[in-house]
Amino acid sequence: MATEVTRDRFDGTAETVPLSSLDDEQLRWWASLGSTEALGLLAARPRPVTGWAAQAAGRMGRGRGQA
Amino acid sequence: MIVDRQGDRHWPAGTPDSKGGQYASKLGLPTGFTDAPSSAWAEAVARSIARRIPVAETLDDVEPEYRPGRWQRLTTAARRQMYVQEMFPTIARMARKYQPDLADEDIRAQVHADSYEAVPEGAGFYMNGPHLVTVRSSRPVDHRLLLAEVDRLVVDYPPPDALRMGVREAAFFARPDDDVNGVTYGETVTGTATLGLSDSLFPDHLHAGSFDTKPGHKMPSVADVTGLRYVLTHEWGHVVTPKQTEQAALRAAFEVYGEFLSGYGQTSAAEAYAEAFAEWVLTRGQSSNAGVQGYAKRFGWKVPTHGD
Repeated sequence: MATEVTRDRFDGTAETVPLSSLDDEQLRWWASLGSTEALGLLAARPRPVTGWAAQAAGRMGRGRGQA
Repeated sequence: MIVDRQGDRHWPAGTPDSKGGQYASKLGLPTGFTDAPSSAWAEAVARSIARRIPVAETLDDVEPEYRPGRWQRLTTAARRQMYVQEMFPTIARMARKYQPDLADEDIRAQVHADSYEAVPEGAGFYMNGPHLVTVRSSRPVDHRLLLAEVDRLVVDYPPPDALRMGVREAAFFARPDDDVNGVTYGETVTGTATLGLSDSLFPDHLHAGSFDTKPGHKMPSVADVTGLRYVLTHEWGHVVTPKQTEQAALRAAFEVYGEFLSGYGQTSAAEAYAEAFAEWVLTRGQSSNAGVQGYAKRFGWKVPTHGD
């Protein structure tokens, strides 16, 4: 089962979404708290991602300018 | 200034060294929790809090064991050091998929550089043993109050792994359909002790009943506790929810007891567990709700030891 995030919208209905569906900014937040899974998802995104996490793996692995 | 029986000194709200005005109401002064805080007040609280929580300059200074109430404030440099330690293995593995011969020192240098973006200046970082609480907010978040609320839960219901909790600007949690589906106050990564809280809880929800906004939609204790406590305890219910191997047990409990819970709890098995847990903890196990008692018995919840 994929890891999910539960958003508690207390005056409405809770929403549960796959971690992989979050945008880069949201993934960066979870990664900054220490979620290595969020970091891995960021780094694995195929399109160029501006931001520290994906760049870390992308720049080093694929060469600068290609990540 | 007031000196209590333990010899600790306290300052009424509004004075430069106030830590939130815990004696202010007795003195007939405005309290920091209910009055609109000025930026000067917020800065004074922040300074006061920062002075009273021991600082860990490096990770070596962090006490390895959790001890209630013994939080340490990490410097930004120490938090970055921690980030490098935690993230190096993941980033190294990802990078070496593309370039297997990368040297450790090159990767470490990159992760160190990245840590400046991941761990911004101006945030508050607190550790107690393995547990980490981060505050990224321009609001007057009472860090000591927040940590005390976390302590109440860690003591009786330890998280399954190291707590990673963060408070962040309300705007970060905003969604385009908030006016229809409601505002997000808390988020949890399922199966982990990773959770986030909206800073709109500070100071809007620091008085009892503040979250009691929709009759029947939350559990009855919402009328008696602060919104902050209700949301945090509910999120903690997600943190301590049995893992995937016990999903059948969660569903079975929901089928039997779900109908007794709040409107919010009736929306899913996961929310039912969290709502029942919150009510159990916030009533100290005294809830007369059959669903809450059923969940407590089925999942072996202990009665909390905290005093209020």
